[in-house]
Order: sequence, then C-alpha cells, then structure tokens
Amino acid sequence: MLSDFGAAQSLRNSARHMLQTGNNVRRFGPKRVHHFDNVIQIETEVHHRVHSVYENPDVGLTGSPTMRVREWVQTKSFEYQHQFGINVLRGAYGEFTE
Amino acid sequence: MTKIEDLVMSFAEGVRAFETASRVRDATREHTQIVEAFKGLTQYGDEGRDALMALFEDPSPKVRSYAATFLLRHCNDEATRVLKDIAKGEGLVAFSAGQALERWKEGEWSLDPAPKKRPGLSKSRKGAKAK
Repeated sequence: MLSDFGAAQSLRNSARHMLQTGNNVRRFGPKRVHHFDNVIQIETEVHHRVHSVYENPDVGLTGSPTMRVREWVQTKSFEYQHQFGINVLRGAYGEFTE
Repeated sequence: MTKIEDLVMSFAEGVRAFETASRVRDATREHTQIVEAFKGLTQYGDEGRDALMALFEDPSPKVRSYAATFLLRHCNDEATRVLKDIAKGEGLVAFSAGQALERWKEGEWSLDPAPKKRPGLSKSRKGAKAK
C-alpha cells in the first residue's frame, strides 16, 4: 500500500493526510479509507495544524464540552467525515494564507 | 474584581491560551479551564451568563466565538449574530463558528442545557396551597 505513495513521499516538507482516521479502517474497510480519493498530499505545517484540530476538543465543532473532534467525527458517516475533513483542510489553509 | 468578573477573565484567558497551545496536553488543560470557568459562571445563573456576553466585543475572534457558542441557548439572537459574523471570515475559527450554528440547528449542542422541569412539582404546590 505504501508503495502507492512513492511519488508523494519524495516531496519535501509534506505529509500524507487522510480525510478519515485509523479506527475507520475497521468500520469502512482499508480500501475505502486508503483510497487515493481519501488521501491528500499537504505541507507538513498544515498537516500539524489539522492534526491538532482533530486531537483537541472544540466546542464549536462538536457542540460538546468534553469530546475531542476525532471522537465526535467518528460517529458520522464516511461521506460526512470526508466532507468535514475537506472543510478542516480549507480552514487550515485559510489560516496560512491570511 | 468580583468573582464573576474573575471567571469571565479566566474564560477569555483560557481561550487565548487554548488557541496558541502547541501540545495536545496543554490545549486539553486550557480547554478544561474554559469549561470550568463557564460552569462557575452558571453557578450564578443568568447573571453569570450575562457577564460572559461582555466577551462578544473581545478583539479575538476565537474568544468571541467561544463565548457565543456557550451562550447559544441563553441569548440565541445575539450569539447567532456573533457566530454568523465570524463565520464569514477565513480559517479554522470561521469554520468552527459556522459549525457551532450547525450543531445548534441539528440539536447536537450540549454546552448549557436548559434545566429540566420537575414533573408534578407545580401540582403538589397547588395542592399545598389548597390545604
């Protein structure tokens, strides 16, 4: 599987970003989660920013005082998570281009 | 400074520190401070919630967004206005503000639920009066 990303790995200062996360492999299957449509090559700093969004709580994103974004989004469908991931990426890019 | 003002300041400082925290552990600690400050304010009832509305004028969009998100039930019109305004912008704070409005519409918002009415209480009070 990793060999599929050979070209992407050769890019400097970049990271692969999956629009869904680890636990979803069991739920939706590895083929769907690791598919090219669901993986994107992004700059490392944007990847770190997106990662921190998912790892932290955010009352706006979850509506909950305690849930981490990752925990909350994992309750949603594949399609919802995919779109949500794209929107978080757009937001992260917006911060770096402001 | 009153205890309520102290809690409002703790809330705002928590949001500012949360926004700039680089480690998950630090962000979690700051987030806990925010939630605890809000809980403290709710101990004062609507007086505490009203005091938090002062942060609707804070220069930081993140602080305004967090205050408005917590106050969506208490002062829905003003909080919605604040969140809509922030959501017009770019970046993750804008996205989060827009999402807060979505969570509210979807009924997934659980930051300050309305107190539950105790069934039968008014009936028994009526009965007590009649006696």
